[in-house]
Amino acid sequence: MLCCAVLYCAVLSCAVLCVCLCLYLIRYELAAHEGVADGPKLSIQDLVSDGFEQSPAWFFVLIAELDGQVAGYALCNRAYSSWTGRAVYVEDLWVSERHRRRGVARALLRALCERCAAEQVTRLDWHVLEDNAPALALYARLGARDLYRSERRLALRLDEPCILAVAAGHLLPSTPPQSGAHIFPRFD
Amino acid sequence: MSNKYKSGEVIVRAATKHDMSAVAEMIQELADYEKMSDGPKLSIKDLVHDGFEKQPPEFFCKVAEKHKENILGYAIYFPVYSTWEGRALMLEDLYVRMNERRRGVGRLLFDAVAKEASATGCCRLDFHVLEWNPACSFYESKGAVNLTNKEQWCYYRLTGDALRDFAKDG
Repeated sequence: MLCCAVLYCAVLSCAVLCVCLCLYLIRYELAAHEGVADGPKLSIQDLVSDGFEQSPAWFFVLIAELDGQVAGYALCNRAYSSWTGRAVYVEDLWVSERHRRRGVARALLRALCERCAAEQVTRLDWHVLEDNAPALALYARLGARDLYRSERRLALRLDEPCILAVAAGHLLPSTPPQSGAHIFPRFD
Repeated sequence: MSNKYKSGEVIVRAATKHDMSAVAEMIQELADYEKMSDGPKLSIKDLVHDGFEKQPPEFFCKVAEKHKENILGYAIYFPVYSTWEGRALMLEDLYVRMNERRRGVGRLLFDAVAKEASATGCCRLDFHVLEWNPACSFYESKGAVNLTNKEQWCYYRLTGDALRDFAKDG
């Protein structure tokens, strides 16, 4: 039985600072879980500024409270599909280890989906590590699709050094096409 | 044989609402190219409303234009966020019309979005591409990392009935 409250944090208050402190601390749990404990580089002030002082905000957060404690969070941003319109991207979904197996992740996702339904958001996207078996099991029960399996979509990223290089007009040498690749028009 | 445009022949600029008719056409062309012709459901009016009437806008768009009248391609992108590194951009669509390929237009569009990412202090520019799309090698030449291969990230989606049913029944 689901027994936690999920709050949507959108208003700046002292509670927000507590939320951000909790976010700041439990991100490290999530990063350690993903095997990159030195990943997070943002300060609490960065989170407060980007989520609660910028207009528009860069993200919104759902917090799950259990027994008076922050048990988990979902940090999301508004997204857009040129096919279907408004969407939401879930950047982080995390339940603190001591609160596992009590329905917290499911409560967070359900609250998120309720919000999507209320706002005519028709697509909820996220990424998950391939070896995260418990998460994959939950997502399968939601009816979520793996877009690599269903559409062969790959996730690509240009990190900051490359952003700067591309912005300055640089290009790496091209690599020869792999054998068996389809011949399709290229962008350049 | 490719015939690259000379510098200045094609410009990339922020789209206006008047470009959305051409952009809607190209959204359909891109869906056709990806063999998912039934995907697009938005009207020109939806795009105008979402991109130019709502505050804040739901997306940003750049178009590549020749001779101040022909729209050759477009890019749609929007802000996202990394809890590790902060502000980032997601490139949702990048498309060049079929008869304008291999002339440097895609590179102009991609570079313009990368410049925008740089100018707004973004740490990442993320995007998705179909595995069979030879544009993958173009993106790799820009230094893009394939996160699916490198870090085993899977890209998941909840949509349609599954999304509605879970919201209702949990």
